[in-house]
Amino acid sequence: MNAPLPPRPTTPPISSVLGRTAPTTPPTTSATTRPATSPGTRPATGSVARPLTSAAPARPATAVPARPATNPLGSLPRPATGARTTPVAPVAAGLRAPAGAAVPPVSRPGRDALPPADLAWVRELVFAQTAIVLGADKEYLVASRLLPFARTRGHGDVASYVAWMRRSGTASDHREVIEAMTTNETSWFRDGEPYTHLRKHLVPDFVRARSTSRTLRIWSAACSTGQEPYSIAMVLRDEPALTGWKIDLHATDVDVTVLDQARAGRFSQLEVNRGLPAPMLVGNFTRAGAHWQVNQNIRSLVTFSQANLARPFPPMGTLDIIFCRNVLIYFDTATKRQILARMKAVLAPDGYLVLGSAETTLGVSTEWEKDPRSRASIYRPIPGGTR
Amino acid sequence: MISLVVDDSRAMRRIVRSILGSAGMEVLEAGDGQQALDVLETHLAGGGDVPVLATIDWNMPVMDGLELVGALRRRRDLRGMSLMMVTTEAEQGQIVRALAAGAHEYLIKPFSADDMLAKLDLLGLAPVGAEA
Repeated sequence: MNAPLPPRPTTPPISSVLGRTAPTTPPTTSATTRPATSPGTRPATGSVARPLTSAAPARPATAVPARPATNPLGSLPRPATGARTTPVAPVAAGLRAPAGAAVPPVSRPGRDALPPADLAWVRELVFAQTAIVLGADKEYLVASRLLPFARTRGHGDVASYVAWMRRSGTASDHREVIEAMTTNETSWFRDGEPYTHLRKHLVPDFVRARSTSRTLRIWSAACSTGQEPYSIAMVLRDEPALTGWKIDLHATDVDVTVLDQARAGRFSQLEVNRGLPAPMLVGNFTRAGAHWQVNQNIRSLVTFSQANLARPFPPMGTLDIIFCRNVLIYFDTATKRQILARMKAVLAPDGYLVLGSAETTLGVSTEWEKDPRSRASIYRPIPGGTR
Repeated sequence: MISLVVDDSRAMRRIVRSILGSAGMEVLEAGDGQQALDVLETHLAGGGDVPVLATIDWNMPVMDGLELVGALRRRRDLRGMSLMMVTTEAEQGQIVRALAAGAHEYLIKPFSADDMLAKLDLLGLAPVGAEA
């Protein structure tokens, strides 16, 4: 950490995240002749995964195996083992966040949260509909992903929710479980807008505002296995205006297991397939056996440590930007309010708070205002209040 | 929006077609690089729009994917077309070669529908109203 940004190496153009390496104009109009091989109307996803209902999902949530899959649970080349091969991002990270004792009344998705039969039911449902294999050791992940849905439906815990699903859930209810287990919330740049906004607006703001200190302090508050802080690091490293700047990128999560992977910066093939632009992959990673390793010049920008958001934050100095995406949803309103107040206290008056795309401070805190330049949930502190 | 799916595996073409279809695309198909050029020629001669995307397997008979990428990139009239390699070739050097030849994106098999849709996002081809 604290490494001044070195000059940019000659890597492939990384403008893509966010500046697209794609051609500039997709020039099609709808007035086209439908080709003979056209699927006609939206194709059913049945060739890939049996839809649960006749109304096929808009997006086939399915794994596409390299070879035809004839196999039962456990032998697909899919997230069969290890949370590492499953999309673990702020959703799961957030779940870990409130796992500390200090967060009533959120029930803890602990290791004993789901009876084996319920876990088996979820695994079979997900496999039958998507071919994605959830390892038998994925109870924690299952509980984590399903908790928000359990809460939304008024269940005290995930076990009660799954029991209800098994007993009375309809096919469309089941779809909720499948999507919860297969959606990638924030793999690399998938939810690209915050990164685009960072590059287009926030970096230029700070290049002006911090021209004396030439230091930028950023906190990724629920970093999970590291995709978010490394994505931020790649964007910043690619910014010519920040050459020679000191970058303090703090990344925290409550779960020390994910922090170990994050710190190592090693990602599976499946993980780097998810939303990471190919030029960024070859420019910032090195293939090491079956894995891809984040290059040292990117890893050196990030400091990882354990932190529970419901407790006092670790000392990080005054921060310029806080990324806290898809985490607050797991806390009750009082805790959310308290976390936001403490975030305001550690954020510079001209700093920014980046929440998940569906999150808002509305109804929780009146001390934040949305950055009008972005559709994403990016907030600035309103002067006064608890500061 | 029209796309072109080039893969010598019919099963894989069907899967990709299904995913692209879910993103609102119509799909042309070809089983190798040469066939892709032929299909494209016929499509354009019939007044069809330039596809916005081609997904291209690497290892195919007659003309492989890398050669096809080169051939497509040399065509001025196809500049609006995003080229995405979709292949089991996973070595770093191969990815670099494909990008150098003119591929815009690179997706390694096996992949999920979400992985491919995320790549469409990166190429600016995500369907309107799709979640980010």
